[in-house]
Amino acid sequence: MSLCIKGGEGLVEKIRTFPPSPVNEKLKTYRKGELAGIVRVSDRCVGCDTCRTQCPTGAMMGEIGTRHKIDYDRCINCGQCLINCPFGAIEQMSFLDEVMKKLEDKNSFVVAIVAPAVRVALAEEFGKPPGTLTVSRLHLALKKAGFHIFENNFAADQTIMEEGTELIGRIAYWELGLKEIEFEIKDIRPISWVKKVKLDLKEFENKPLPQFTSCCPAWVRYAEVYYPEILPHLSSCKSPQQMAGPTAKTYGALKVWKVNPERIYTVGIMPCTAKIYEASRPEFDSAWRWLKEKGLVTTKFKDVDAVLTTRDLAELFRRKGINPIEFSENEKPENFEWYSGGGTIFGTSGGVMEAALRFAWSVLSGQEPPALSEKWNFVKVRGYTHPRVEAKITIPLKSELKKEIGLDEVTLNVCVVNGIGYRGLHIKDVLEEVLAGTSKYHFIEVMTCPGGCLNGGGQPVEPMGTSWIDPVLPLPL
Amino acid sequence: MKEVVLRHPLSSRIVHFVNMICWYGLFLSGILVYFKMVDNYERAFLMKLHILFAAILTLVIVSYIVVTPDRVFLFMQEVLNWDKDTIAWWKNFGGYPYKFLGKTKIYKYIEKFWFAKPGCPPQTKYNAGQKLLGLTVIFSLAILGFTGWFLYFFREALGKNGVLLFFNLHVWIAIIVTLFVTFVHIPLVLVNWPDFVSMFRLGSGTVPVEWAKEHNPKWFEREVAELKED
Ligand code: SF4
Ligand code: SF4
Ligand code: SF4
Repeated sequence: MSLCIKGGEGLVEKIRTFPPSPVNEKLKTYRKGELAGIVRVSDRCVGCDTCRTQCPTGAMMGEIGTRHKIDYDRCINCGQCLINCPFGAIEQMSFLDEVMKKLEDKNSFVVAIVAPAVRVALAEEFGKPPGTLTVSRLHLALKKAGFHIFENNFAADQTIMEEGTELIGRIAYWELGLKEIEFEIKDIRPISWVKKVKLDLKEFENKPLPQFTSCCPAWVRYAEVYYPEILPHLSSCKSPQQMAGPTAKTYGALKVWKVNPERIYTVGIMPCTAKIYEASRPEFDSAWRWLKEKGLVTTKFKDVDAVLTTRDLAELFRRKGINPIEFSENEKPENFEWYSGGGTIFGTSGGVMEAALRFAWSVLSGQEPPALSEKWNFVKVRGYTHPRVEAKITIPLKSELKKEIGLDEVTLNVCVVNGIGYRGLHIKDVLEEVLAGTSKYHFIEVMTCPGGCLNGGGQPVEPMGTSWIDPVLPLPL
Repeated sequence: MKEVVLRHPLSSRIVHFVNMICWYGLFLSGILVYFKMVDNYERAFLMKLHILFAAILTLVIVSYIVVTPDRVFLFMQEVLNWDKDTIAWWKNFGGYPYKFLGKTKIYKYIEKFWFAKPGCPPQTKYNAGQKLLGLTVIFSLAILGFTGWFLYFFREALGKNGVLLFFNLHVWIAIIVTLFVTFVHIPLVLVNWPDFVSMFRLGSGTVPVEWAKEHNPKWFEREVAELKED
């Protein structure tokens, strides 16, 4: 099977795909039961050696002129080799056939968990310029194809509430010396509500600062394989995809759609190849465990059953004769289609950081500025083409905290790693400083792909490859 | 003693020789790798060899340009000098088809065609065919060198389409020009034996005066005129 790159535009070859097979299950993996070999090098490799210099881990091996090979023990499934191969010689594992069958199966309730970066890239596959936004037309096209929708941005909002709460907990325990902290989370539009949160900070004894983000599965795998000592610093939150899956199968199934959770088949639609492996991680079956405890289900299932990349989704639409560009962009969202601006910027480097800072700012200052206020605008943490950015963010404290700690404000040092870089070039010294106890940061975002998920391994292949220039320039552009 | 005239000075002969060895070294290593005719380990070795040949060739050509710019200038002037006789040469390929086929049975079938007519308009140092070859080699060396080294050092700056374009230009120009050199240039030089000898013999790069008068009369007249002036 082969997928067209942007309908065959330019000279760049098509990305070919292959279905998961027993070979992938037999490959040795870090966690027993998860999928490996998400990307593989085919015979079409001419040995140009481009992929090797884009690989963050050194898993891609080979010399110029030779067929390259992936060392799966070292591979973190980021797919950067794949989108950077000019010869279309790297193939991707695809669940497309399985998802197509589920969509035809009347007994299955197929839920699309659609990631933020997909909506800014999908249109490229249908002849539109890069960056063309498809939001409600994407939802409508998905519905036409037979999906129900759980916005991954909705789950990103869940993530940021958890990850932000965890960050506040770590700061309160390690930086402010508090034993407990109480705050309100409120005004999440369109339904206004208030939730009181009281954290017993004892649990943060083993969760030191700085806190790293944990929503990029390739980065998590990188940490597990190359820097396991850093794991206590990683946020304990799951990624948005892995929060969306169980929420859809529990709350969604029981309270919103009112269907038997066993019928729900969740499909992550991601800009990312690492998400394919992430969904297969054995610990991600919490919906099944929770429902089993309640005696509601018997058969075991995963939180996320399959993952399609943006390219896979475009092919699915093509096979079904659906062109998402032809739908209206003015549809009103319903159920899990709502989300905040914080959720949507997860797709770009610095976006998770900015969303977490907005959350921490709101909670610690007790203020809720208007949506477009400059106070929310932490754009200086956006990575763009810089391999790493850092910033100091000062947050005024609300009166209760002022009294309790005797300070008017706190200043957070934050860092965004924009792409792990060739053999960890952008991240190694950050990690080493943290391990040596000399890091000045409170919060560090890591995105494996340069530019963030927008430039993920599952995105349409951009024939000019703008991320390429980095390795040949002494200074960032 | 037989009268001779200098056709290929030592510097040009060295460059030609190095070019020939490196070109075929580059071609063979490149072909074996591109068409995957050998296994991975051998391909890795052959690519190292390819890069070594490329480095030697680049160095020699750059040195030639830097050390003997006058020779480079004269060579460029010669191959770019297309007068009416150069154009006229193409009307019957300098009489070569007649030379090869004139005495064969085939000739009676082709004698009516323009390219089969006998005779050759007077040529300068290089005939029109050699001028075209010279230009082809110069431009292909420039393109192959540029694309090759760019792909080796700066491919990231090109983008994927750029890499594909450079890669395909590199491979296919090399193949086409090598075929041209192997099946046109080499047989024709072997026919012009004194020219071949002057290029490859140990010793001076001269040709007999008689041969020069016959093949390159314009060049010969100019050389003689220059000598008289001196
Ligand atoms: S980029 Fe593609 S063609 Fe080049 S070495 Fe890697 S897999 Fe092979
Ligand atoms: S670039 Fe990513 S997917 Fe490719 S070999 Fe390296 S780690 Fe694996
Ligand atoms: S940065 Fe985004 S696309 Fe890239 S590996 Fe991480 S989650 Fe996937």
